[in-house]
Amino acid sequence: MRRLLMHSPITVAFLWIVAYLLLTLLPLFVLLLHPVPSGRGFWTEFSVALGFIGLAMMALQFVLTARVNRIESSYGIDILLQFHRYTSLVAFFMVLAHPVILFIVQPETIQLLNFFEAPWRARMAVLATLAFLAMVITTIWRKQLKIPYEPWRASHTILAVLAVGLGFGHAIGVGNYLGLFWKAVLWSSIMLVSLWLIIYVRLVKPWLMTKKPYVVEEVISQRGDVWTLALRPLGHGGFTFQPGQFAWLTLNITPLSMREHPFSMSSSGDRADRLEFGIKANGDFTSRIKDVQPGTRAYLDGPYGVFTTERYWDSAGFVLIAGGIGITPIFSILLTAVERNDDRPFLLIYAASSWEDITYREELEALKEALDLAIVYVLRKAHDDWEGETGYVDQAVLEKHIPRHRGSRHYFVCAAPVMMDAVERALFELEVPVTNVHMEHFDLA
Amino acid sequence: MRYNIMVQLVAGITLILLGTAALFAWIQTRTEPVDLRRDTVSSHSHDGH
Repeated sequence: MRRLLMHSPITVAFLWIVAYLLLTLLPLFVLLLHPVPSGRGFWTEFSVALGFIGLAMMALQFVLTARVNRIESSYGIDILLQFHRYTSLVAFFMVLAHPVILFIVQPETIQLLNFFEAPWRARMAVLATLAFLAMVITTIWRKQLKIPYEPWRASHTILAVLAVGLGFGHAIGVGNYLGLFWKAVLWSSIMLVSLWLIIYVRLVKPWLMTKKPYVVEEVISQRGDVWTLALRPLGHGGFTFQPGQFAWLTLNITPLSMREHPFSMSSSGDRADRLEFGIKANGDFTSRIKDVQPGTRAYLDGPYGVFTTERYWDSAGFVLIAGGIGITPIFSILLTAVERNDDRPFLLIYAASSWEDITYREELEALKEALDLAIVYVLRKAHDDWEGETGYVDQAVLEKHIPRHRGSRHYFVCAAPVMMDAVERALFELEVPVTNVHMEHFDLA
Repeated sequence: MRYNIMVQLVAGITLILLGTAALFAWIQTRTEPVDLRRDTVSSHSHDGH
């Protein structure tokens, strides 16, 4: 029974949430071991508790974004990043509420905002809050502020280290609680682990990646303004992956520069000697892919992701729903199925803007020979003699094509967020079991 | 829809954290520090001073 429970994704996810809560609240539990500072009221203690919880949540963000495989395999990286975004906002409001409550119950403390005359502990708090504020603003409104991805990512890390480091410095400086032995031990451990994670992710791991370089073999133009970037491992065996997974790609520069981008592999998961990525030219980095010369050095961090048919070995077949460049991981799933002589039925519902823009169209048609594969193209702009589906992948289209025994298949959806939401809702209305639906947002940034 | 579930999850976590912060503040301020220590030792809260 215990074994069975530990293999249920819901149980595992639930245990991670409990662990998250315990870790966030641990600093407060440890405080209860110590005598209470005298002369402080309920609201002061409440404000202090919010400050500690906010700081613990901020420190835990380093764990959430460190690409820890065990956590990631319970949820998928897009869900983890969404959790990271939401909990960061909660932490931000707790950190803001901490001084606001103090200013209300002890109005004299507002003088601590006078930066030039305030003690260092207060200055650190102000600087930490400003760093946190800058992080929140540049992340939520990155596109409106026209901040390119790479500098944003670098500044995000620097601001995060500043916010947490200064926050810790503030807590030590105030010292009411951090003068206590166990509290100091606990917080020092939290800070050391956070520091180690950031050093590992930004320095150790990139350095290890430099030991396993790849070289660009060719860049192939595909339909729909997509480019296939083919890499060959240089002096090592490369890696196999579960079809549908992705890797972080660094091109033509050292991985230590922190300028990597996530892309799904589009080749077979069993081919370690040649890894291909389908990349659509729609951003600063992606529109330069077509100019990459064969022989260019590349580095990969991966594979990552839970958007893979491999986890559902017992499924009677698969329904794959792709929109635009969302075809990339799904193409990898199909290629791997061919290589493994998979005899289960595959249904691909593929939305594209026009017949000419269907990425991998010829290759997909060829796969029908080797695989029990049915393809339904849904075109937004169809030519006059088109007899297939048009418009969007809505409930009517899905109802017409997906199997009557909904639960007999696993459903993989990869598309732009609007289409993903619509398809998810439609599948729910069509009584497809929620646990059979798997989704991947390709827009992680 | 999955993100709606996520919003509910994070809202739930936030409520638990706020509730625990309030509980912590209440425990820390319900009595004078001296009383609290004696309470902890004797496990009685009604024995006064």
